[in-house]
Amino acid sequence: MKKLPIANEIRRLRFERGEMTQKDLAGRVGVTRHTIMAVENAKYSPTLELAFRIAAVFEVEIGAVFSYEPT
Amino acid sequence: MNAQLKSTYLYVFTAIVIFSVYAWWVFGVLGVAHFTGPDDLVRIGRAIFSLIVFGYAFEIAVVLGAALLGVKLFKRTAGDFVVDERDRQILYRSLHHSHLVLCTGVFASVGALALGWGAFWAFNVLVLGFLLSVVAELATKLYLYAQGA
Repeated sequence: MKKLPIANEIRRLRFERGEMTQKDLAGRVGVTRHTIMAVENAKYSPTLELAFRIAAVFEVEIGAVFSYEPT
Repeated sequence: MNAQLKSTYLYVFTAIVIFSVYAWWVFGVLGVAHFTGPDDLVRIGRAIFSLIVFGYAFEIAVVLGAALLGVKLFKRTAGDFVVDERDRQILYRSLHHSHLVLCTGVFASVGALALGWGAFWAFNVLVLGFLLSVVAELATKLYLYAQGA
């Protein structure tokens, strides 16, 4: 399956937050670890609500986490 | 492995069992001759009604049993059974495919009646449509989960 045009910085942001695990992030935003993995690998575009929740966990603007990269 | 993916494999197992038992019972044990005569529609109705009732009862029992086993033996918690937005999106996409196939089965069944097929075969075209819709649903789910979508 090809990557979706929504790129993200979740892996880097997790690393910068004391190597937060995917499971920790998943628990804090209320989804499964598999969903975080899919979002991180740009195989699943999160809903706007989930995108905002992820940005809120990292205490940054949503644009600092997600960007649109048309192919 | 995702809990939803595990339950999809369980549904594959239950679908195989349910439709195999139906085919064995209707075509093997009872035979086509059983569904001919003045009360053929009643007998066909009983067979398909049994498929639906016992099929769902078996499916519920297996899924519930597997969940209880997971809690008792593998100490699974409520967190392991979380259904999130991605699971729901995969469910909607698989149900969409399933719905298309099921509608095709209904039309094929009506077409069979229009072609002059007997009620037994026309209703079993409907059952085949139901089976293929289940296959479409489960295959879509397995594909999307395998692709990490």
